[in-house]
Amino acid sequence: MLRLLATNFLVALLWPTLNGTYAPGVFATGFVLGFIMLTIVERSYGKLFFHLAFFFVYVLYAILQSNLKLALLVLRAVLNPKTTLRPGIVAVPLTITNPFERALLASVITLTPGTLSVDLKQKDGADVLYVHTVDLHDADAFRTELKEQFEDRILYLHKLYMDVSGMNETSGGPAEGVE
Amino acid sequence: MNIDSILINYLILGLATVGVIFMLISALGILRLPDVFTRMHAAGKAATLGVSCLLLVAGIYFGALGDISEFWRMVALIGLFFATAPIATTTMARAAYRTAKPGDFTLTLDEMEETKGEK
Repeated sequence: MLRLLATNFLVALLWPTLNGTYAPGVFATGFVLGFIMLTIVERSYGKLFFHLAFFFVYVLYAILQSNLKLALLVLRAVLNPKTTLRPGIVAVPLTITNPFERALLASVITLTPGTLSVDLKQKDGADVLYVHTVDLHDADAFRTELKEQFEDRILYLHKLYMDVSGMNETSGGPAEGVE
Repeated sequence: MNIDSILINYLILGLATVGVIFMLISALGILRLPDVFTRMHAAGKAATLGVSCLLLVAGIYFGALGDISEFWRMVALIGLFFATAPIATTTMARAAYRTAKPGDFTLTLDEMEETKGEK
């Protein structure tokens, strides 16, 4: 993975040298060309990047969507004091073991309005992420929804990353797409 | 990208309005919501959209004035904000839970209660 990324940057540096100009735009063109070349050679490299970009866009979409939802909820609670919110803390058992990916998952959950990761603890030998949510109706439905929304996607990215790395890495998740 | 363009002007106005409205909603939320966690939702969350809209507007405005690097600087700021804000929020939520007295929170369900005595 790192080797491929380094090659990509090398091509990106080589392109302005061959052109004779060192503008950022030329560098970007070189990077894109290197990316295409490497994708032809190593298909999983391009796949990983596309899925990372897709995940990034998905998180932005989720943030925007639940921001609007939360704004409505807050407005309703403010305008009508009688409405009762149903906040709750739900235990979400984690399948992810990689520390970086866990931090990513917890951050994404916190960034998405309406949910907030409170703590990570051990329970019955398994690691559990405690998530606070503003409007809770069904704890089990909430658990599965959260896992489908984010954890499965991160697990899939991890699988793609392992494909690119040739399965010989034991630690260190994808370093890109930190958001 | 020119500051005289009507489209750019409306884009700036529109985004600034959205940002300010979200800031207002989060302020109202902090005032009126019942406990620490729900208030934190209102503060940290509506603020992410509010702050990023306002930063983006500043970037577009100064970018349209002629300095495009200003725009990228604001994009970098939004990225940093999104990377650091959840860590602070999680730390505060955890501290709030650990130092709480009974009855501090309004929770309909608390699956974390059994871990209360543990370190």
